[in-house]
Amino acid sequence: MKKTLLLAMSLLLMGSIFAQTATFENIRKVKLKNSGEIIRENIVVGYYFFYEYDRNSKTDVEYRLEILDENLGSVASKKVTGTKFLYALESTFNGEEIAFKFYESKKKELIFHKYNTKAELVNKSSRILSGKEAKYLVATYFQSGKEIDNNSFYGVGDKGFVSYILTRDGNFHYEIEFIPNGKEKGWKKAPVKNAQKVEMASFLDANNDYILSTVGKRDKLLSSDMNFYVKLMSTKDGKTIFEKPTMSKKYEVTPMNGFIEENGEVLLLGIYTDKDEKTAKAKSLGVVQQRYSSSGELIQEKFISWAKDFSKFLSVNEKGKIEDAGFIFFHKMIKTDDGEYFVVGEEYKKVASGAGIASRALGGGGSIIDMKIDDINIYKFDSDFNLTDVRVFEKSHTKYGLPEGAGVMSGPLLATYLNALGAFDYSFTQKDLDNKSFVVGYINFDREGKRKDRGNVFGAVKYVDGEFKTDKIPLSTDATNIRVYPGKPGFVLLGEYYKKEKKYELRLEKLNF
Amino acid sequence: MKIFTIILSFLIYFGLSAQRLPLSFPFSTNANFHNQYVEKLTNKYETYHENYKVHNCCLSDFQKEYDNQLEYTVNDIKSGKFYADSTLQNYLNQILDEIISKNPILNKEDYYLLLSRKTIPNAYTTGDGTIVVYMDLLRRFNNEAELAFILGHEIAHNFFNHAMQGIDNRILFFNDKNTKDYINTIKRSVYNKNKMIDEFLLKYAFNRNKHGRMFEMDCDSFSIELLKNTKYNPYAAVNALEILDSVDSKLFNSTLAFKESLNFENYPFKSSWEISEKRTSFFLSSAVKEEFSEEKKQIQDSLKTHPDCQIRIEKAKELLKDFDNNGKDFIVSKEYFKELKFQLEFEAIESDFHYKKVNIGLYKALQLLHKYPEESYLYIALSKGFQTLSESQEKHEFGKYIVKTNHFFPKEFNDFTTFLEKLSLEDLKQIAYHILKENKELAEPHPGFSETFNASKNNTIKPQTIKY
Repeated sequence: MKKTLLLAMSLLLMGSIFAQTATFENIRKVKLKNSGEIIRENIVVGYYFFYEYDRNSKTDVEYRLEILDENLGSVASKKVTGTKFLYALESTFNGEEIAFKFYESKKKELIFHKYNTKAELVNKSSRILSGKEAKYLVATYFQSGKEIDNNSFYGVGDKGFVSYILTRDGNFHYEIEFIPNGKEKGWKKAPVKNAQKVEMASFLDANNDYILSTVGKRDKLLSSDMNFYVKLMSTKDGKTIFEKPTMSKKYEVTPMNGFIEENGEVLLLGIYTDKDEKTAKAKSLGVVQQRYSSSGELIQEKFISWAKDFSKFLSVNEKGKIEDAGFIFFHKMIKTDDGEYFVVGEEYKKVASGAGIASRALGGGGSIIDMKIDDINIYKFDSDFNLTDVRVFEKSHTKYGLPEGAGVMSGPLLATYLNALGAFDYSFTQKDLDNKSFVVGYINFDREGKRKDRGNVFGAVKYVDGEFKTDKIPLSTDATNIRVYPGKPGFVLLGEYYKKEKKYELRLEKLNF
Repeated sequence: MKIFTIILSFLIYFGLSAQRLPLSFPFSTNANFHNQYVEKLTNKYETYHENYKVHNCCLSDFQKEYDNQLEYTVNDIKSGKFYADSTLQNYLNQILDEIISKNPILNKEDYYLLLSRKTIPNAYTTGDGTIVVYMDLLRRFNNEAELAFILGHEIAHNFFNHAMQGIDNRILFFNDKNTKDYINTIKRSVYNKNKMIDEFLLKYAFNRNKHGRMFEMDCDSFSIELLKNTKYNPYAAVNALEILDSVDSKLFNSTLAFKESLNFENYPFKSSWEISEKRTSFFLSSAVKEEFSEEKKQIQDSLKTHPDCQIRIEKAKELLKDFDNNGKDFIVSKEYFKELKFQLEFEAIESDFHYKKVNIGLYKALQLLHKYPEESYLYIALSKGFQTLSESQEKHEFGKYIVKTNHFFPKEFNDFTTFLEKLSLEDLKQIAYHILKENKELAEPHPGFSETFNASKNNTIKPQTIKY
């Protein structure tokens, strides 16, 4: 969903205050290079559209960074100059400043621009990446990733921003960079002493005092046996407060979400697998909650097993269905302000590909295995992490043709790989401002109903006032193609491109609950 | 004239004594009402085609532009944009007639006045004698004389042929050899192409609008001179310009405590509907306004088609300095004007609903409810508005019926829109129903009560499709 939009189109931002939609119309040739959401604490607060306005010379290009609020109102239009290799990657807002992450692919330069609440440029900073760092960055941003969460750029309280990149100086290591508000210098941290061959970090949570990450480590580059750690750092100077393995006596724990609580304790949510199985290949046994003290002591741990705990909530039919589905890929773990926890997953399994087999029979290529993506699952837990509900939300299945040779990969490893390619229907999860309700969204081809009603839909499951509700927005319109952006709580943004009219139209749609 | 006065007196007597909307509410917008004018206008354009032949250039461009101009006006009329009420039209025509009949240089047959149902505080002429006044401007005026000044201003534009001259000048400019050569130069450019286009268009717009601003001053002066010959008070020009000057700041001219109106005994106002004060917008509202005003102020000032009202007011005062004023604010009917203004407040709600600005219509209805709590129409309008929103939400078209929040709107209005966005489908249906159910005694006198009430009730019974 975050694939670069390289659409040669003519556009003009119509700023009519009475317009129902912000329309980019046919005035002159300009090229939309990138667009995306502006995020604050997982909530969409706006959008940016980065487009090539004019060529100044053979090397210089004048860009416009058009910034819209969450209602598509124009709030700023900034001039940015650079080469034709400049891309806008991500944007985040921390309450005091809004920051943009750019990448110049020829010079391999990572660039940050920050604006204050008066829409004035506060600071620009940049650094040149090594060849391998650049390769990884390109793979991260230009391949897939549908999540509403930022890829690797987040607000830190109202003090600054943190950016995660992967460095590769012989090893495969993370680098965490803190960029404070204003013009002050921040800090960069990377593993140093006794580091393993591979150490990759992901953001979990941050506030003005701490930055919480999870770190996956393995000692060989191609090993599928990864160990996970929870790492708490000081926002002020990047000093590590603690770094603890998440592994328990019996199980390996893969963290999926984490929170720094008001009392300084760290809460971790994840899935667990058999300790003796290789992590990347292992089938998950259930979900786990871990609580750490502010100094890193594990003070509470609770395991909920698929086999024992979940079966109580499933009918015979549903149980069979989940077992039959083979595996569940976990997209998201949510903690609400009501103290409840939710786990969002999607069923998948490998099936024989009719088209692939036929192609082989005719002497063609292609994999004879498809990945069948099926229903959305949501599991609900109370504040003590007791499983209280299991829901299976039916949707039409999607078959994803595997690349040749990929069929030999184990299920979980294959699912991780396919998720990176954007093969799952799951699109994003958006929370409401009150952090008590949320929406899980997916995009697929709906085969239900009469033939005329079938087509691509944006499907949504909303949890509100203790109830689950569903909705579908048809995506089969007259547009040549359509992109679904996450919207402000309760809304999605549809970006419709009309090739003939050379028009890109944005439309906010309210989900129907 | 005599019959019209009797009808007016009858309407006004019953209208004022009851403080209720008249039977003619809402005004008809049946396009057939203006059929004769459409025919007359079409014939008029036939003669225009002869006029531009003197330029001996680009005749197909002229024909196309003139055809478009006619089509635009006719389409507006046929789409029901203008009120079609004979009493209203007669009343407005009498004001127009007072100006034309007292100024022999004007010909009555050349002009036709239309009152637009759109809620825009403005007036315009298409250059073919069609004068359009938007209802939102009329409802802000205090008397006939202020309206007469605006009509005089639009008559002046027609009299001096400003609009048609503008079309001719544009066609001739873009067919000029130098212009064509320059456009070709831009087309051939490899670099800075868009900048060159912008500069070219800006320069063109500067020149065009510079003349436009001069025309506005001339038309103000001409209108004052016209008014001096009538029984109207020409000093109304100053008031009319002051009203024009303040239209932007009076978009929604009072605050709204909507919570108490939408808190029902059997469907109380929910705490989740409250507006969160948590700030999600990244730029301060003032900064946004600055971003789009300061940076572009110079350009905007140069691109303005009208000069600042304050300059126009000073000029008007100067023209009226030594004039011995015996003029009146009303000639035709003070009472009908008052009644019309009252009705237009409610017509604005109908108009906003019609043009899919349901949140603005609801906001106005709730504001009026505080002022006129016994007006049955308002309960019907509120119920209909919420029903429209529930139906649109069911079809995922909610966004098409709502004017989005904006940094340029007052906070109260943005909060109200945010509140509407927070409502679930069930909430919208229940509010539409409970407005009528719990205000039955007040709403029941309205002839549309039973139909609207039953529709809202049935809507709440209709099951929502939820699958899991």
